[in-house]
Amino acid sequence: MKIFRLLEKTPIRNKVLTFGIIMSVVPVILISLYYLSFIQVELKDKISQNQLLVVQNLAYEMDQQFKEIDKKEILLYELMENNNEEAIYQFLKEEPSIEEVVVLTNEGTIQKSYHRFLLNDQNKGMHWKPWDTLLPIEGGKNSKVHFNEFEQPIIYSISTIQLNGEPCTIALTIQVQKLLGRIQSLHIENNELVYLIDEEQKIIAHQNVSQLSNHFSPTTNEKVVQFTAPIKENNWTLVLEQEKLFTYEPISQLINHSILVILILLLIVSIISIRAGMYFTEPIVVLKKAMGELKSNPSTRISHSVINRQDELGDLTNSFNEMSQAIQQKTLLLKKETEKLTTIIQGIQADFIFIEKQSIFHWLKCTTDNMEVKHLLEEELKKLLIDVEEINPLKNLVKKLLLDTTNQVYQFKLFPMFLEEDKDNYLVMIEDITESNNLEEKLIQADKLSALGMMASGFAHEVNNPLTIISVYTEDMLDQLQEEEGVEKVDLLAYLEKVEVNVKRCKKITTNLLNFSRPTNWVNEQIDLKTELENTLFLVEHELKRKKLTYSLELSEDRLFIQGDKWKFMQVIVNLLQNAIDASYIGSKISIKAFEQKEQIVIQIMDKGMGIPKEHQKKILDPFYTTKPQGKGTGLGLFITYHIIERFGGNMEFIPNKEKGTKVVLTFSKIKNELV
Amino acid sequence: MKLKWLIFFLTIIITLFLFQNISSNERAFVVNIYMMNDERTEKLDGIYEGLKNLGYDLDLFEFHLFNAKDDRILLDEMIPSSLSTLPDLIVTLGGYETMELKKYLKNEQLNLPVIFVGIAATQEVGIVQGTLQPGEQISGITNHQTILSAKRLELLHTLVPTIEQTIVLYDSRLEVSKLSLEVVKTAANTLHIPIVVHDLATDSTLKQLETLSIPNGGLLTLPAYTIESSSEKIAQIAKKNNWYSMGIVLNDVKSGFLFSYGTSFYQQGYQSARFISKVYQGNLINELPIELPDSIELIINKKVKEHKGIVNEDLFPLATFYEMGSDN
Repeated sequence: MKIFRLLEKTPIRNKVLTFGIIMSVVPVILISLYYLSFIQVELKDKISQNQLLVVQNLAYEMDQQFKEIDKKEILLYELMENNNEEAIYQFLKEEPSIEEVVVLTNEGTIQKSYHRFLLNDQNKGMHWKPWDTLLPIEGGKNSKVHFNEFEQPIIYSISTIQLNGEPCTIALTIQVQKLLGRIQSLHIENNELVYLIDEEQKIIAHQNVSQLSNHFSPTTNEKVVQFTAPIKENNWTLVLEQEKLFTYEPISQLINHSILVILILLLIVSIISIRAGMYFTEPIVVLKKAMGELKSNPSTRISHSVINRQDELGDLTNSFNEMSQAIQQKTLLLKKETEKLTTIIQGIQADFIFIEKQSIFHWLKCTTDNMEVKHLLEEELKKLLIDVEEINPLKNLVKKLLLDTTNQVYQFKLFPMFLEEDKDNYLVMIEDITESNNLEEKLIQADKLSALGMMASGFAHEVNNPLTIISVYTEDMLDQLQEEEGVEKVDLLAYLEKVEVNVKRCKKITTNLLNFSRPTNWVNEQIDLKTELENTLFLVEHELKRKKLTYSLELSEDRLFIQGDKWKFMQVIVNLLQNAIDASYIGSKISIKAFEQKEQIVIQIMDKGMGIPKEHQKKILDPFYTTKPQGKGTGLGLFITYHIIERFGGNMEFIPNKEKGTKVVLTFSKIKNELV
Repeated sequence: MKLKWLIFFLTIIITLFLFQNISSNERAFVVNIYMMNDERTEKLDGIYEGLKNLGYDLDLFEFHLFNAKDDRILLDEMIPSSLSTLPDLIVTLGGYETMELKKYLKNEQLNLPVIFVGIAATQEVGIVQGTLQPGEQISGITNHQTILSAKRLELLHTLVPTIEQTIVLYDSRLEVSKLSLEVVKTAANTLHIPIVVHDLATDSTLKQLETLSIPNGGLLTLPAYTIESSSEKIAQIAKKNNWYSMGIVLNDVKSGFLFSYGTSFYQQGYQSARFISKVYQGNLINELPIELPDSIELIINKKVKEHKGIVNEDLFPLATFYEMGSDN
């Protein structure tokens, strides 16, 4: 396993080279080993056979020489029938190895002798000395090796023939000096030894003359090999002895030469393999290097002088160059876009954060140096991200945050970034909207005041009525008190109750008015729709009465709640009701419905008024856009209303009523855990 | 790049070739060969042929030849200078050279092996102590001339039975010649052959020989390099006087002798190759017994036809005939 891991880490060039070398070297070695071992065995046999043949040839030569002598001897005997001397002289001439021819009597006495060196008939009539000591070899007629008076090696040969009808013994002295001398002097290489042994296993000829007359014994030395061949004529044996090291030296030489050749072959094959490997992998290495350079330098190209191929690697190179060019262009483009974006971002008075996986914050732009503020912002974002999960991860989210420590208002705009499968990445734009928020508040306040202004006469009438009643009753009480009879307690109570009721009514009106008109900061609380809608209706009651409008308030449940600032909610309802009142005809009806729909709370305000003409529909939310005569409206109402609804996280929609008029649909998220 | 590879491979091939050659080169076996005169060059031919026949490549040897051109003083000068670089083996082609070299080596205490090629009476003249164990650092081929001298006398009389007296020519200045004379005298006695002894030492110009009056005579030359070098003149004298001449070697017959009996220079050289081989193989020279010649030839000059009816043709089967003026 470790090897495989190591293999994976090894560069491709090294793998290819190694593989190439192994695949070149291993088969050559295996095949060579096989053939060498095979040849070795064959060669060993051949060499052994060859050596045996050599010694057999030599033995055959020697054997033939003796056979020649025998043949000539027979001829001699035949010729002696006619002329002894001539035949003998002829025999002596034809057979240089014959030293002497002796004609003997049956008792061994010399009748006639013909000697090559000595005087003929020197010992005529004398006993032939070898006769007594001669021991003819069994099965043949040649003796063992003796030495003459000149200490030359000789053998005797005795034959008894019939000559002119008479038995005749012919003895030959055969000079074997030349024969044995040749054996002893043969030039044989590689530490070979050739020697001759007689039938008594005595060495009669040896290349090492000190071995002469020693007894022969077959070698027990495993390092030495012996080849023998018989010389049948004399029962001699020719022995060729050699150290195996030298006998099989041709094998060693062959192996050495083969190894040399194999090494050269391996070298050549390796070089070719390496060269081929380099040829194939070089483009890959170049490509790899170029890819590495491409990271830092998009203008990297691979020149065709470096890789000039028409094959797949050539195609790859071309593709790389094209890709590099495309990358370079895109990089350039990206750079330009980045510069553009950077310029835009720098131009935008906002901070940008890229949130990675909901927890890693990368500040792309930060206009504040205050680390505490940054930290607070991050904490708020983290909380917000949790809400994002719960609300709607696919929708861009806008949240406002007021930092208590600095009284600054920041607006977060979350833009989900779906990078492939990763959905936990967001781009957050943080705007310090303190000023605009203040401005908005001022606008809201202005709108409120405007609404109040419009409701002022209504309020005055509303307050006037109870005040009038109070005035009447108090006047009456004073009158009665001034009279002697006084006021009956029951009547006093009744009058005072009336006064109390009307005072409370006035208080309610003024309180509502005060509360409505007071500039407040956004307070997130649970809003009881029923209560607030009723309160709001109370505020606009006069206006409704003025135009003799009827209204209905329908709630699907008594307890419907939304989350947000109740005064802002009231402002929204006031604006919408004011618009509905303004649009309605006298005696018309305005209906308000609130109900739950799936996970949302829906509030519908419907009027049967003049409706919104098409040409105005797109502009009604624009600030300062109004169709009312000058001085009758600021044009901020719906603008502010829309922004407040946004802050609620809700939605506002204008739908033309089927029966004429306008239906405004407000949608709010339902509170998950309603506070009781 | 291609050129680099070419040079690289060529270098490898050349290195291998040189390596092969160097490894196979062995030092040659150095042999100094000494001869008194050009007559001995046939021995040299025999040596070369003998070595080849034994399976040698002559490149294994480095032969240095020293020819004294019959000048003893030159030989004396040649010997020390030739041995300034010691050879592996010394070969002498005659008796005198052998004696002189042996003396020099002994004086200088140089332990170099010496092989003599075809000298007579090796033991008698003190060259060796014995034939089986020559002793010292010397051995070789004896031409058996001393013993053969008796055989020559016998053969001469067997070939020409009508010879009444035989002139025996020898050189008393040479030990070998003197010894041969003793053998011949013994043989003459045995064979009852009358002989007349003539000493070249006292008749260096051969004028006296020329004027000898011996009818129906035979002439027998004994081994001596001085006689060898005068064989042509001697043959002429023999012819002039109608003497039947018996020489030693083929060269004598070539010079005009009627007969010769001995071993040829070539055969001696050929046989001595065995000694050179044994020494080359590492044998000690003093362990190599002296050898008699492998073959002895009776050479008869074809001119003998002129003496038909006189020469005994019974021995003709033993002989090899030589025709003067040819190489056959």
